[in-house]
Amino acid sequence: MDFALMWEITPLLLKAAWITVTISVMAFILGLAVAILLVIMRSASFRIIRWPSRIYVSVIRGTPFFVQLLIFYYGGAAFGINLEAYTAGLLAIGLNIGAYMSEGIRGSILAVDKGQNEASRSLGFSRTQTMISVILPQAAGLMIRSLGVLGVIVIKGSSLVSIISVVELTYQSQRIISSTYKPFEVFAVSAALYLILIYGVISIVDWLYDRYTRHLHH
Amino acid sequence: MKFLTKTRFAVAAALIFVLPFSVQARDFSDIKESGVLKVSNSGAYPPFSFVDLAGNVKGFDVDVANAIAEKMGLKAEVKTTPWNGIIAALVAGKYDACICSMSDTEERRKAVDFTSDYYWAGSALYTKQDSGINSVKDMNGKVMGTTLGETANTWAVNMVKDGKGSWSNQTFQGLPDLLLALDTGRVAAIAVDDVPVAVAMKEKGYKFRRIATEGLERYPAAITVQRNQPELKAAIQKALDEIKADGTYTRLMDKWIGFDISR
Repeated sequence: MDFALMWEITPLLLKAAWITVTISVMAFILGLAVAILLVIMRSASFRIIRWPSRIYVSVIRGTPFFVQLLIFYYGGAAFGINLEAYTAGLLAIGLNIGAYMSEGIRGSILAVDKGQNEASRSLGFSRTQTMISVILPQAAGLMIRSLGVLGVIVIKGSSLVSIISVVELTYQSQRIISSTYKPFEVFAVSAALYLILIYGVISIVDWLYDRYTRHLHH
Repeated sequence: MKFLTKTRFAVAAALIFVLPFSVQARDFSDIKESGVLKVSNSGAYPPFSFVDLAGNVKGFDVDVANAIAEKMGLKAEVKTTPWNGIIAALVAGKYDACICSMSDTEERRKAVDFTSDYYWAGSALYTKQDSGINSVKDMNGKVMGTTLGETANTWAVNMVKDGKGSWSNQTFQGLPDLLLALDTGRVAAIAVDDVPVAVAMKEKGYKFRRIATEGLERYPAAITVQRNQPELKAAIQKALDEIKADGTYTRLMDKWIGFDISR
């Protein structure tokens, strides 16, 4: 074990880890926006609005993320769109995870007892009021858990954008290995950084979960 | 040769993902207008392109890119992209040129265009300074070291089999073992991919001598541009000829490689 080298490359990998963080956070936010839109569309009364949402989710979930990423980066050229690697990676992750998030959100809403909805509506609340004041607070716990898992998946999945030349943690590690010939040392540091990032996400999720489910335990 | 064994991957990636989408990216007038020549390399092929511990992309290919761009009145923007997607990225117009140690092959010519060669690489024979060995013939009766899997290994074995040489072969698992064997006199010479040896000699301080290499194959590496970019190709070719003529090329060769790779 070359500890000196591990120490030496840490600042460089930290910088790369920051790219992993920014692309993951931005993709997560984009994904959340996409997911909310999909859920609203899915609950619309008109089939013409519901169907695009279902098709989108099926297509995204039914194809490998890797292929989606390559289409975003290389395929845009056919339509005169030449995306930078970072932008292409960000869009690909965000649009991909959005489909999974929409199912997570929908699932946690559907998990709330139907009686809650009926009771609220019979008390005179509107559909929107019912959703915001009655259903969502009860769905929050489950929703936070499932979105948290997807947050972890986003971070780990962001390593795939290395293939389209985004210099994030994984690609930077590979580049350093090719000049140092020390794969174990380099990947050990990089794995440790991933572990820290992912445990950071998990503790944020735990904190949010406690905060939004406080009303459940007296 | 690394860049030959990887040919198929690069071409396959290009064919599968890009050819259906291939477009005319920036032509030479667009490039001149922007003032920037976008150049790619793998960043994983020292000493031609690699990332140092400060995170900078360095190497012979990077310096050649900068020198060529300067001659064209442009600024080079050098970025790394994984080798197996490097042709795909060029064809998709992510870069204007690939100065990336790519060997010029028929297969690749179906997807991209090449300038004339900017260096040659391949196997060569190395021996110790005072060994008295000056050609392949001098190896008769001595021990030849090679690395398993390299073209030079096949060459050394076949030479003996075909009766063209009468040395005994000793095969090693990797370059470090091979260099150590030569340094400690267990073998009289080694037949090996030359550039990695040059790097190792520089880093480890070995003082070996490179000797005549008749019969060992060498391959040209050329600058790659998109097809149907005659103006850009001509401008890069002209800049390449200029840096070869004014001594810049030789200076970079000395700086990174330490011996003549121009032929």
